[in-house]
This record gives sequence, C-alpha cells and structure tokens, in this order.
Amino acid sequence: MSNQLSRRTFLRASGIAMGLPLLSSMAADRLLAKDESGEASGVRRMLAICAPLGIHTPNLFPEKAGKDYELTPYLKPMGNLRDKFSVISGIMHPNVDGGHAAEKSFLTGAAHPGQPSFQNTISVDQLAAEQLGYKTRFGSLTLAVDYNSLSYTRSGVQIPAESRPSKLFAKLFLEGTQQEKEEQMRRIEDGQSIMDLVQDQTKKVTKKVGREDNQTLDQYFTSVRELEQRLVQAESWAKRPKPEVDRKQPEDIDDRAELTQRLRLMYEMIFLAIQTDSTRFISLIAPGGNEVVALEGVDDGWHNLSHHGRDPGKIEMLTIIELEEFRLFAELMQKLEDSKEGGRSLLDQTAILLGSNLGNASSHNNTNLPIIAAGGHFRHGQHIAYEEGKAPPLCNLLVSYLQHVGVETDQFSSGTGTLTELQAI
Amino acid sequence: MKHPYLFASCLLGLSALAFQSDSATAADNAQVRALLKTHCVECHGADTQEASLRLDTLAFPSASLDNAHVWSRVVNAVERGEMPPDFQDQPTDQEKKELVRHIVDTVVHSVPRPISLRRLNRREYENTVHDLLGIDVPLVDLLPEDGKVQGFDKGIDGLSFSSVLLEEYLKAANVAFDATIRRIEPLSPESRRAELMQIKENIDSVEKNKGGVIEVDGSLVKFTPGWPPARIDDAHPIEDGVYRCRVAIWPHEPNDRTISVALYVGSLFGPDTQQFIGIFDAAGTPDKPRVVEFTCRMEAGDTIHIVPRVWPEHVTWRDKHEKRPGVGIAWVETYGPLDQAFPSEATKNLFGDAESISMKEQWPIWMRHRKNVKGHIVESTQPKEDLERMLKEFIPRAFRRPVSDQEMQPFIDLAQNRLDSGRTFEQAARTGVTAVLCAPQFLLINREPVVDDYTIASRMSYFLWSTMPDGELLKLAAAGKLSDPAVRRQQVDRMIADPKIENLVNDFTAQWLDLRDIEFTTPDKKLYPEYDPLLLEGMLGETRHFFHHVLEEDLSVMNFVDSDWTFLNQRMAGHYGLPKIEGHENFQKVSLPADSVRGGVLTHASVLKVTANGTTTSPVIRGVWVLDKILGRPAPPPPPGVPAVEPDIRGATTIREQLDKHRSIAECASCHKRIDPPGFALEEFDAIGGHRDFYRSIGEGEKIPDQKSYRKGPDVESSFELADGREFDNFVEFRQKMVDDEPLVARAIAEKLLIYATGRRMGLPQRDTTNEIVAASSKNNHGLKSMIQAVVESDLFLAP
Repeated sequence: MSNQLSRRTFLRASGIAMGLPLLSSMAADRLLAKDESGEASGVRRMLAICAPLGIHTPNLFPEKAGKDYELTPYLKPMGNLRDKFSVISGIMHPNVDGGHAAEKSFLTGAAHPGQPSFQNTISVDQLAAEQLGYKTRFGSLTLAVDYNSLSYTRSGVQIPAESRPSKLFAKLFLEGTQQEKEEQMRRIEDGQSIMDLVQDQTKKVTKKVGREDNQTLDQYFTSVRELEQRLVQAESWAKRPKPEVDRKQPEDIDDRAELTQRLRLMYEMIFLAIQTDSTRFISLIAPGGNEVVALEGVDDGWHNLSHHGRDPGKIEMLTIIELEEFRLFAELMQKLEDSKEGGRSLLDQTAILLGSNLGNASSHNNTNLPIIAAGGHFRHGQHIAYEEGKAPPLCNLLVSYLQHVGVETDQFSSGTGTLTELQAI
Repeated sequence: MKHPYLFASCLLGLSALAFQSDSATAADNAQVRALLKTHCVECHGADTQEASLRLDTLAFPSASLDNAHVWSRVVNAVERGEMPPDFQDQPTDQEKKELVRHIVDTVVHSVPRPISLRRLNRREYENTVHDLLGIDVPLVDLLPEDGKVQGFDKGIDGLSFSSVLLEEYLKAANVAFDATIRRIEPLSPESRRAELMQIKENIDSVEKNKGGVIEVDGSLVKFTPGWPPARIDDAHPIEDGVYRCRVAIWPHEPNDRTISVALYVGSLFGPDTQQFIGIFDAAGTPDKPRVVEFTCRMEAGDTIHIVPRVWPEHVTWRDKHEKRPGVGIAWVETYGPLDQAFPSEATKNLFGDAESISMKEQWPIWMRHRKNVKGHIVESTQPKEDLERMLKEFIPRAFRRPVSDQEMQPFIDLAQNRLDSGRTFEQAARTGVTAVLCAPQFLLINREPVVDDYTIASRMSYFLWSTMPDGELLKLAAAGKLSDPAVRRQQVDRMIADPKIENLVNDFTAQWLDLRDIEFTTPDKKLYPEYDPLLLEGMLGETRHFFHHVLEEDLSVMNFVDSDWTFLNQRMAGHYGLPKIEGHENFQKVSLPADSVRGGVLTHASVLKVTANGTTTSPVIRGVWVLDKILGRPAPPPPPGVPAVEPDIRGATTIREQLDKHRSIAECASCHKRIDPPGFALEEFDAIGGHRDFYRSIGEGEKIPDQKSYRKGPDVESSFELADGREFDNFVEFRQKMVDDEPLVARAIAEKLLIYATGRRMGLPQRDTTNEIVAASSKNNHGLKSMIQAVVESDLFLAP
C-alpha cells in the first residue's frame, strides 16, 4: 500500500505541475482567461455544433462564390457579422455515409458509420482536450439540447452529453453546501484509491490471461491511469472556488416543442462557459426530434418535415424552424462578438463549426454538407464553394481548427492538411 | 476445482487437432488457384479487374494480412450462383463445393482465433448489478452507449474502455450502492384512494370541458390521450416504496370497440421518465368497473398516468352518427409501501444480517407529510471485522466464481484503510463495494485463461439472460457438472422456460430486427392518419410474441420467413384486415387465412416500420436490411460520389423509376441487383406495414372517397428477378423463393445467434461451426431452440 500511496502523491504533485499552470495567476472574481504567457487575447477555443436533422441547403447556400455572395434566407440573421463567418458548400467527409448514422462521424470523420461493425475514432474536441484540456476546470464540455452526443474518446466510446442546463450550470458555477463539498472531496479521494486498486487488479488479470497484447485489457489499464490523473486534477480544482456569474441557476424547459427557449438557454450556458473560461472545447448536438415545434405556422413533427419528399408545404414549415435556429445562432455570435477578452472579442478567440451530417435530409445523403465556419483567427466573409466530389475532406477544416487552438498537427482522421481556402490570421 | 482443468485441457487438445499440417494447406491452395484460373481470372485477373477484384494474385489471409472478407465475397458469389456469370463456362456443382471447401479450410487455418475476453455491455451491467444487490434503480442511462459489431452490442471490438466509461462506472456504482440502503423507516402500509370526481382539478376540467372531458355517474370520462391528465392526487404515495395499485376503468360509448388504456407510472409533470405498465382493456359499468391491479415501485408523489387508447379513432366532425367513445375512470387506489423491511432487504443482503450491524439515526429529513423524520446510515459495532465479512461474501458473488483469500485481501485492505483514515463504516463499505464493481474481475467476462465450469456458467447466462448466472448454474459449476453436454442441454431448457428469457427475446429482437429503433420516426400524419400509439405497441407485441413462441416451441427458424400463423390483438388484426380479435390487452395466436399476405417477420408491421422513414419506403433500405438480417450477407456501402435517391411524395415519380436509373450505372449494378429484388417485393407494404396496391400521395393523384388527407398515387410494382435469375411476380412469390433458400436463411440466423452468444465476429473462418449448428438443428427441422442448443454445444462457444 505504501508504494501505491507514494506513487499517488507523485501523481498529485505532477498533476498540479502539469495541470494547473494558471493556479497562481487566477483569482475567483476574474472572468477573463489568460494563456501561459499571461496574454488573455491569446486564448483559443473551439465550439462545434451539429444539426441532426439537416439544414435545407437551398435556403443556405448562396449562388455566388467568393466575397460578394448574396445573403440567403438563413444567412440574413447573421448579416451584421458577415466578416466573421464563412459559408462552405460542396464539402463532405469522404466515406462517411449511412444517413443519420453519419452523425457519429461528424467530428471524427470515421468511415462508414452505418455499417454493422462500425468502429468510431476520437472526435476533434476530445483530441484537443487530451492535449490542452488541463488548462481549464473542464477539459471539454459535451452537450446536447435533446439527446445523443458528438464526442468520442480515442477508443471510440461515446461521451454522454449533458442536456440539462440546470445541471450544467450547477457543475460550472455552483459551489454546493459545505457538506456537499466535503462529500465530493471524499468521493474524489476514495475514487483515487479505488483506481489504484483497480490498476493493480488489471495487471494481475492481464498476467493471468497471458495475453499482454490484449486490446481490451490494454484499454482498461490505460483508462484507469487516465482517470486517476483526471481525479488528481479534479481534486485540485475542487479546492478552488468556481467562477461567479450574474445569473441564477436556470430551470430546465422540459417541453421539447419550446425550441426557441430551449436552444437559447443552452446557447446562454455555452456563452457563460466560454466567458468564464471554464472550458475551451465544446461540442453540442442541436435539437431535432419528432416534436411539433411551437412556432407560428408549424403543425407537423420536425423529423417528418425533414423527410419532406419535396412537398412544398413541408419545406415551408421546415424553413420556419431552421430560420429560428439560425436566428438563435446569430444571437450567440453577436454576444460573443460583444464580449472582449484581452484585446479581442470572444468570437475572435473561438472557432465555431455549425453544420450537419446530412446534406439533404430528405434523401438522407451525406454529401454536400451545409457548413458554417465562424469566429476564430480566420479570414472570413466568403462563400467557399467547392465543386461536389472535388472538395477537400471536411476534416481539413478540423485540422485548421486544431491548429487554431494550438494543437501541433497537420492531419486529423481523413484530413490531410488545413483547409487552404480558409486563411488563418 | 479439479474437473474444470481436466475439461479445459481436453478443449485445448481439440483446438490443437484442428490445425492441419502445412502441406495439406498448400495442396488446397493449388486446387483453388487452378479453379480460379479456369473460371474467374478472365474478368478478375491481370487484364481486367471487374468489381476491383483480382483473383490470380489474391493472397490467402495470414496473421499479418486480414483479407478473409475478400475471400468471403468470392465464396458467397460462387455458392449462390451469382458468379461466374451466365456467359462463362460454369463449374460443376461438385467443383463449386470443392472450391468453397478449400477456401474455407485455408482461411480457417491461416487466421488465429482471438480470445473472447470482453466487458459487460451496459444492459448486462445493469441486470448484473440488479441481481447482485437486489435493487432495481435504472443504471443503463448512466453509461455511454456501446458500440456494435456485426449488428450486436456483444462484440469484443465494440465494447471498448475509456476513462470516460470508467468514470461513469464509478458514478453508477455509487448510485447502486445508495439504492441498497433505505434511509428512512417506512410507514406501515396504507391505502390511498382517489375518487376521480372528488378531486378539484378534475371537477374544474369537467366544468370548463378541458380536452372534452365529462363526468358520467361519478366517473371522469376522458376521450383523448392529451391534456388535461386525469388527476389522482389523493392516491399518490407519500414516500418511496413498492405499491399495489388498482385502477377502476369502464368503457364509455364504445360502440363495437374495445376501449383500452395505457398505464404509466412516474412524476405528474416531469420529463419522460415514466415506466410503462401495460395496455389494459376497460370493462364493466360505472358501478361495476373493471379493476386493473399491478405492483410496482413508486416514488413519493408519483402518479399513475391513465391514457385512453381508442381505436378506431372517432373524429367528432366526421363520425356524427356515433357518440364519442372514451374511457371512464372511477377510482384509483394505492396500497403500500409493501416492502416494510428496515434495514431493507438489499441492505441485509449486502451487509449481512449480523448483530453488529444497525441503522443509526443521522440528519433530520424534511418531508411534506411526516414530521421528525431522521435519515439513517448503516453502522457497525465492529467495523473492521464487518467489512472483511461482507466483502468476503460479496466478492465471489460479484466475480461469479470462487475467489481466494489472497485475491480478496486488497479489497478488504482498501476498505479498512478508508476506515483508518477517518471514514465512517458506511463510507468505507461504499469504497470497497465500488472498487469491486470497477474491478476487471467484475466487469470482464471470459477473463480466465482456461474455460472452466464457471466460465461456461457465465457464458450461458449472459447469452440467454443477459445477466449473471443464478444459484443453480453456479451450483452445477461448483460440482463440475457443466462440462457435461447433457447437463448443459437441460440447463438451456430450464433457462428458456425461465421468465428471464424475456431478456433474450427483447434484446435479440431489438438488435437482430432493429426493433430498438422503432420509435425513431413518427409516420406522417397526412399520409398515415390511421397511425396511433396503440398500433406502435401492437407492432412490438406481435414480433416479440412471435419470437418467443418460435423459441419456446422449438419451431423452425423458417417461420421468420414464412408462417401460417402469428400473434395479434384487436388493433393489429384490424390493421392487417383480418377477422376481429377481442381486446388490445392480450395477444392471441391466430391462424392466417390462406389468402392473407401475412406470415413471417417481413410482413410484420414492426419490421416494415423500422425499415421505412415514416413518410416513404425505400427499396434500397429494405433490400439492404433483408440481405443482412435474413440472408446473412450485408451489402457493402455505396461507392463514393453516387447521389442518393431523393424521395418524392408529390405523386409524379415512383421510387422504382428512380432506381431503374440508378441501376443503369455500372458500378451500382453489381450490388443493386442483390439489393433491389427484396426491396421491390417489399414495396407492397407501406411505411406502417399496411399492404398496398398504390402509393399514397399528398400532391397529384385521384381523390379517394372519405379520405381527405391523401390521394391515390402511382401503382405499386413488386415484380422483379433475383440476382440468380429467378423471377417473381409479387411479394408472396418472392417470399416463396426465400423459403426455397432455407440453407442460406438457416445459416444466417445461426450466425446471428453465434455473434450474440460469443461476441465474436463471424466470417469465413467460422463457416464450419455455423454449418455444424445448422446441421445439428436440421434434425429438428431447424428449430430455434435446437439451434440455441447447438450454439451452446459448439466449439466456438466453449473456446477460450
């Protein structure tokens, strides 16, 4: 036991050393983040949003390519921020098919998600969090408005998403009572002891099985070690006060028909998480189910409407819903633009991807995906129109984003380089 | 413990025998090469590589080259007569058989078999923790979704680990531990009764005619499933526990319908966390209503949702001749908590019924209906000894086999060490139990280097019950009896007769037939106005009853392709246009009339719904589905860059016209000639499983009398020809062709069972095992139970 304890002590010490470079420079009441050099304007983030039921692209893609494209119905709400985003057409994830199943590969690029033996790979947000997540209280946030999740670990395990704003808020900003805090500390400490033991047991089982190269056991062992490190970090964060925000804990809106309120509330939570630098990597799966959305003029289920079969009546209703989504997204962009961090706006610090795994929801194809790239250190303001089939892989955009946040890589999944048409500044 | 080793060494001996000498393999190779040269390399050789396949240089798989799937394509095409094409010299049947034989032999011997060690999937985890701790708190949703391998979440590669998963295991173990402890002393059981028309919300609803509700003879009559809910506040339990519930319902103006209700238990307004109790038919009169009785766990303040299910639907403006049918709800009663034990049974089970263990009063708890309530924790007068005692009892049960003191010691040390560092007895016990539930010995199955009786017990149990072995299996394992095939056979019979077999019925149909996705789409209201929740519940009921019956009676698996019977209730019989059956509550086995198109799962509305998208049907999706699920030969994904077919419900073009165009593209044709035939045959069925002659259209098309929401679109065309040239005029003829393909279907289903049972990938190297299973079951007409028996007997099931 003493041997294990000393190793843990070491881990804890090293965890603080590697995990918390900001410790001394941060105070409870400060909301703005700083990177290692102390320069707040150098903080980089990434937010990725997927609309699971697609986006009706005739309402999104402009006719003209380049800088002087015309604003289409869906882009109109973002008209004020024209220089802060680019719309991309003709692009896709190569070999990613299977209709709705392609949602699993939206941030991973893994091939053929619809096949019976599909094996997923790490999502872009998790890759970034793996390397840089230690800088914030939460390495990443995996969120959903309704259900499901876009984020996957290295071994292809889907990370459960938080869909309740009230719980998310509590996690981010509420301190809890003294009793709760003590209980939490106890659980973290005991969790570490448990992981010590489990690590030992896994070694023993592996030895007994006699297959040192067994993948399951290998993953098990690695997972235990990673969790142990995370618990060490959680312990140090738990000792430090959470940021304060000027808002009460929200109440969840359970009625899925209330699209506007639900999505707006989730966007507000995302804004607060970014503003307080609680995390730098966020994935969100936007809403979309069978509910009849409570918007004037809509009287059929959303999922049905997306299967419009070219029925003009259905497309009309679908447009009402999707326009609302874009309006809310524009609201979020504006809020981020209006908030400064160091010398820059939060929007400039945050590379945002808004898109869908479905190019045409009615036929369920996964080509010509609707993609908006917004914010971050990029030269925006254009319609990047690729000829279908000749576009670079969508993962190239994700490589650009990885580089943006500071991961030194020139490839990710099917991505072989950055998206050259989107210039970094 | 002597017997298991003996048995294991026998098994090892067997597998050693299976490896032939290298010279035999080389001879096989030469023969395969010769046959390929004669019949195949003209199109799949140096000059041309049709379908991107070159056979003259195709290497056989080895440890370093995993290309068994390519060889599997060759074998499938030859075996099913699709290759060589008609214009080529045909090999004789004997030659074909030999070719297949040689390829399979070579592949079997060149690929090492992986061990079957895997973790529990999240359903198995929940079932196991429930059985282990005697609790029923939901745990599945705390864990991330499992990956699938070949369509099932039982596969080694799909069940990976990550620190995220492990963290959730920590949380889930804590939730489970909390559920074993009852914190407050229960009240003595009490009856709570709600007379519906004495509750002010209901009185108010009636006064304002909300949702059309009325009062009849002291009952509340509800017509629609929607708002307002029938309030039964006086019957809500005031503390958590198990309750016996009684609901008095009678049919109001049913005409010749059966009026039913769906009952759910859960919070009154909360999110979708309601527990479905069942469908019940209303009967009797306001004075003598039918009393539905059931027992379930409820939390304080939970309600029983009483939701009318009225079919055929009554539309007030249309059916003016008929009085509006509804359900009368007279009263509701709950009685409990029935579980009076304090400490709870689960606490006693975990901590032991020892003198030294007691419930100690701690903090005060505020409760609306009770005063001076205190929360309790578990306390011990001899904590160290008790920790050791309880963990020594718990660990072998959790690990599903005897465990040495030495192996248990670290867990005991951990718990006692927590105690030393100032934790309470309960906190220390929590840490010990959580460690056990996160340990590899608990989370992994098949983790022993040799297959002994205990491993077999777990394999059988996770296959048939999706949970840990019960006392009898473990007793047999301890006595070394599970190595005996006759004993295993008896046990399989016993396990199939046990109620826990529902786990197999529900889980296997959920994944094999995709029923897990049945609620993914809701049919379009205009195209399918007749769709209602009763139909959805009926669809699931039919297929589950059907599967269970085939299993229980050891009927042929060919019933899944065609049967002259099925299980229906009133709603489903009506949906299929079959003679009336009384009631929605119970499913009855019915013989199908000779002229009915129904029979076999391909005609089940459930399957037809999951293979459609709610609005339209796609021959591609259904074709791919049939190839994978029934014929065991999934289609590869489409080549990149081919546009998908876009459905059009405006009535101008049919999907078939669109697909004909698609098939004319050469690179699509090779797969679509296999995909389209079953797809076209199934076009006779709409998105909710109705049989149709024409498509419904919401745009162009003739008007249909009495039908406002859709029109008559183009006619359905279901004739086509199979890839091997056999023609069919309609679905019934197509189905007959599938019946003729009995060997293929039987093998496909045997493969699905093997994937599910062993968690292994099935392919060419497993071909012999599959064939043996099919052969063994053929003695009993390919009976499903016989097939399961054969799976449990197979070398793959018993391999390390």
